[in-house]
Amino acid sequence: MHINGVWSLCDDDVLRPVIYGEILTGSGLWVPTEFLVDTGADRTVLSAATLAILHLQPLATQVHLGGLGGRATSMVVETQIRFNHGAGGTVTFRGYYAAVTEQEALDINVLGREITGLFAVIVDRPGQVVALLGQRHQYIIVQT
Amino acid sequence: MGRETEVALAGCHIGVGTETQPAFASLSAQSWRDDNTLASQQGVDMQDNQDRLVMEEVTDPEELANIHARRARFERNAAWLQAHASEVYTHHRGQCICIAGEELFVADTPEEAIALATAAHPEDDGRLLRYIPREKLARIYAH
Repeated sequence: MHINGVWSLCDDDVLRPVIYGEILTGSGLWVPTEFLVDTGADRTVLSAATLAILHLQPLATQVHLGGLGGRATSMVVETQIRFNHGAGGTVTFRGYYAAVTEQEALDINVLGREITGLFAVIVDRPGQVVALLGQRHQYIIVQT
Repeated sequence: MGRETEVALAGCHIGVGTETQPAFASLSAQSWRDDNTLASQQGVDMQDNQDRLVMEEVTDPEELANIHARRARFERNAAWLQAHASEVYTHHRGQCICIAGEELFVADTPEEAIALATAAHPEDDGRLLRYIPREKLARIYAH
């Protein structure tokens, strides 16, 4: 399985590794969105903007999410996230995901290790590659 | 009924099911189905989520065609934003932006931005939504 991403220009003029995906709303529609590939993130966390348009019932509140800026107010929602892969298919991840409730807390959805940990993650700025590799896809390190 | 396979991935033994056949194996002994008590709890330990993730493969051709068409529209909107990033980010800090039909819509809330975009381009379900932070500063995410 080979899920490709892109380097996306963000508001601070920084290029960040992003994978395009979709999230299932409470009304059963899929909405496309972006996920930051953050190898340091323990959890996948949805932004407040994304949460607002999903119309999902929170399963729990007061989830503890910490970062450099301290703790963020968040909740847990049950939904599905899916990504297109290189073979032309789509893979879906059903689970419980955290979501922040304050806009300034997070400007982009973060893809965390409960998903990225299932793959070999390539975040290669010089090579302009962002990819999740699994199953029959692997990478090889070579010396040129 | 769709295909079901099993693969070894990152040290976990995982099965691939389909939308109509969600036979994907759990990533631990505790399965998704076994854990519906989570919904009634407060203060969930998010570490638990790692044990409850279920992965499925979409195999329905019609659904895949819809996904790819929507993705193509989303990528067009994302490309538009990348081409106009400097202008958009500079002028709309602290606001939500939505790109639809390769056109920018701005509002104070995500719902309003989506509503504006949907009204102008109801055919475009590949809308791109972003919140532009008030301040331009270096960020560490890692939640």
